Amino acid sequence: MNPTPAKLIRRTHMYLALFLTPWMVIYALSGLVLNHQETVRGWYGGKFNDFEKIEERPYAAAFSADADARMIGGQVLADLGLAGAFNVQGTPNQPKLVITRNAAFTAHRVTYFRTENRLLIEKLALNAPMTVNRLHFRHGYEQPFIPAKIWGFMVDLAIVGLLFWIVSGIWMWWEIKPARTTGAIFVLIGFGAFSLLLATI
Amino acid sequence: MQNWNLLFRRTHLYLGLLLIPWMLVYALSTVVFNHRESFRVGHQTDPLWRPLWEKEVTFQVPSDPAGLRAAVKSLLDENGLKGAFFARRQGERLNINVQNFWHPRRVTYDFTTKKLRAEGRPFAATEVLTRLHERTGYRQGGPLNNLWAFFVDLFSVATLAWIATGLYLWWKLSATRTWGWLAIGGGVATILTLVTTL
Repeated sequence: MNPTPAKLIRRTHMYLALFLTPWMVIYALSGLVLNHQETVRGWYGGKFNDFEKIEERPYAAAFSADADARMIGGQVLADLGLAGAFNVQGTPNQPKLVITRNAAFTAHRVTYFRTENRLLIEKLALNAPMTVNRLHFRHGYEQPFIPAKIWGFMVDLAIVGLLFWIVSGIWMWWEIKPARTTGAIFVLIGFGAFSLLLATI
Repeated sequence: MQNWNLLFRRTHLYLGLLLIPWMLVYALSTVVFNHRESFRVGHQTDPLWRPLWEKEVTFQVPSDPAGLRAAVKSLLDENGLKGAFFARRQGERLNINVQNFWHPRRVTYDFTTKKLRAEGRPFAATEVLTRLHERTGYRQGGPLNNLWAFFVDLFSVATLAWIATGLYLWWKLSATRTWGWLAIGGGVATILTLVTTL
């Protein structure tokens, strides 16, 4: 039996939400962390976002003259067994390149002192608030790694989910006649408060 | 039992209706974040900040953070700049960011030349969206700033409430349990795979 359009909308609303539950939990918890940053930082005694030194080691690698910073960063990480999404600060001509490897739970910061043939490897102290924030901030398709691109797709799916929940939620509300008046009051309060804040701060 | 069911349904519904504007903002601004390269086209040659005015001012800065904040507030008030702000001294320069969803201002004071300079950004709808997305916290004080922060908290708590009440309402529909478990399992398996491989 084919489902009616009404049932299809209800089921899509629900199954999409069930599938996206882990992402919504991350965004909600991270929202609370970001909104109460000073309090959360206080729990960690100021060591909320600090890198800890793991090791220093010699690193002798020869890069061609046309090697760009990303290529060098990728090679350094691969040699350390840390391949994956990363960012680089600095240019190939500078004596120091800072490579930040962004994994899901933590981050490594590798400083490559090119003229000294030396690496300084540091790791971000692992804690739950920083982890949810890191997952919250992760987005985009720029990184050339399949898991990072799938994450970018999941962020797009969460956007589709939010928009679909709004549209289908309004439709489902209108279908419940006893809820129309109270629902309309909530809509008005929400839009009223939002408009006031948008216009004033 | 019927009362619990109705309470959860109505909580789920009314929280959603109340927070529609925030849901829209977070959804649309995330399009900008997730496709940043697409939104950069056309803005590459524009300067990010454009000068508004410059004037000579004698300004004494207290060394303690509270004193600095009070002094900067007076300075901004005297120059007709109102709103939430962040101030930071870097050497001979004081950088002040005045927050506003539509017209943020960047104010700098040079202690050597005693010049106070204000800059603004050209309007861009995508920037308004991202400012709305990124604004959090109760640090700024004032009823309207605190009201915004309260709505950020409410949205976060509401998201957890939507999940909890949604799970309850799903469980009450026994015909949907198999597909529901598959959806939950699919989501959990996907995120676990991603966080271990990212």
